[in-house]
Amino acid sequence: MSFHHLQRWPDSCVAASMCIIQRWRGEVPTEERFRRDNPSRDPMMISRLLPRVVPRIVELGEEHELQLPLRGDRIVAVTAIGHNYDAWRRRALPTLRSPHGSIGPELHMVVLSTRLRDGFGFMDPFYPAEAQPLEVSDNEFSRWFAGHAFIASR
Amino acid sequence: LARLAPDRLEDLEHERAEFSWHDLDTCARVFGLRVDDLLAGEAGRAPMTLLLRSDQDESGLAIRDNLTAESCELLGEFQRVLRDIAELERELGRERPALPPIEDPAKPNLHPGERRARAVRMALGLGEEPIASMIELLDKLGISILWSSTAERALDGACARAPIAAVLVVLDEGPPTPWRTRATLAHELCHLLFDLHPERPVLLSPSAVRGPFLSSLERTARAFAASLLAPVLGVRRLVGSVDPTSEVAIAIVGSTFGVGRTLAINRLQHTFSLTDDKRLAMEHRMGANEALTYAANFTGDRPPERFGLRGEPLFGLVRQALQHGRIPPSRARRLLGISPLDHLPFEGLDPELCKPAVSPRDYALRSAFTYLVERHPGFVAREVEPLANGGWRVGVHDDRGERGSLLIGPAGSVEKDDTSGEAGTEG
Repeated sequence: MSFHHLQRWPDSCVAASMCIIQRWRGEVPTEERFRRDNPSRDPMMISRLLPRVVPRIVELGEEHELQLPLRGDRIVAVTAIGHNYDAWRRRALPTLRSPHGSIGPELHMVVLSTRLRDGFGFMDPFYPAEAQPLEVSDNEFSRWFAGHAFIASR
Repeated sequence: LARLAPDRLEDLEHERAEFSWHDLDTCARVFGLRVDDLLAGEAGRAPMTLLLRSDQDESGLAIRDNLTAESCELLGEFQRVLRDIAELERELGRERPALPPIEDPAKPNLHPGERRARAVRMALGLGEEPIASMIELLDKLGISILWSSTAERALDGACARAPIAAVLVVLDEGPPTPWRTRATLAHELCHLLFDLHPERPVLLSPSAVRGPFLSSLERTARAFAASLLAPVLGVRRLVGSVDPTSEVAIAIVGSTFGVGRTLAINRLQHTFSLTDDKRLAMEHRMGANEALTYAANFTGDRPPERFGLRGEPLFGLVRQALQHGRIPPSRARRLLGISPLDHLPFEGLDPELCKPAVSPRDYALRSAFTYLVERHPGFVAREVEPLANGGWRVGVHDDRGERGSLLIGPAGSVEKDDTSGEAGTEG
């Protein structure tokens, strides 16, 4: 997929996920501007800084509902529990390396781009484009998903 | 029937709102479809669409008159489970026998129900003997049986030919009534064999029928059930020289053929051409405490222990599909409606497959993060300690260090916010 964007700073996954949305829309990514406009790196700012993005809380057990926007030409930025995400990544993709090192216990953000038979295909701005999209099963996704989804339309 | 609020419906129709998963799920159920089927454009040829269309053609809205919102939900869910069963059977490489084609013989002197029952007994080689187990009979024919129970029954049962042949038995909550179960199974077998066709792949049996069209179908199916369970020649041979109006006759017919008192009396009346007055007198003995109680062997027609639409047979198929790696645990959970926090209840299966998808600890962490993102952006949930009440204390930090804690209740809600200050961080 051509719309991946590698984050330029280790703590820039929210801004970089917004850039993935921009690239998916065919726009020029503006990671630096997003960092400037969102210094606290608040995920909720996505829907304020980007048009046509709708935030939503997804309850445990309802994660499969995220397939609905993905089927309708939309993509979904989601929050991830950093520690659980990194534990999954080490198990599922042990050779994947990032120029920024490892993900810490903080919130992380990735962008779901496709629904798979069991799980999701997604873009992680923390890791280089070559390995992307990454894939995660529904079970594993529910272990690291932190509950917030930001649904982006074209 | 989907019970969408009129305002919401108007917004959706005028594209002022988007369908949520819940909206789609509710609408899909009305058609007897799952959300995936609805999105694949199957609504036009869904069984419920065809049923309501056939209804318009044949009976002047009779089906709709008999379809309450509750029974529509039940019927829709019944058909969704059939789709799940059919899909799992495909994935497991299972095949089921095709229903035997049984002709409705042209014998104008017989009631259609009696006529059909005789044809079925002959085709299946049942002779005039009692049917020990209706469940076993349907199983041999490749017909799945689904079970549901309700406090206020609007439907006795339902049946479908597609995607698999199946019947639904709706039981009363409370003491079991196995004679009614047997009658319902026989009743639905009649609909399945004679009343369903490609343009009407599903049919319901309301508890109280409205309208002439459905009344006629129901009368025939009721007569079929009675004749199939207690055939005339079998009843005559069994009663022999006993007074057919006696309590002994009622008891031996009821216990031998596994039918309830009313059905036994009706069969005696039919077999021995008893007058309506005599029939009434037999029935009224019940109220005068002169009736004999009798016991029949109903062990072959007990509902399964795992009850409900998503109990057996779906439950067993999900287990096998999971065991053989045909479906992932997440799909097993969705099919059975089991929370990610609970174990899959499959004894003897690899514990790794059955363990909760999300531990209570991780659920507490997720609840804390969901809360912090909205209330305290930049704060991070870290240490999770169990509390005596089943809840959790989650330590909260930011770039500068500790920022207090959140108390998360056993159900995952934030019960107390002991955090302080403002912060900002991110991975």
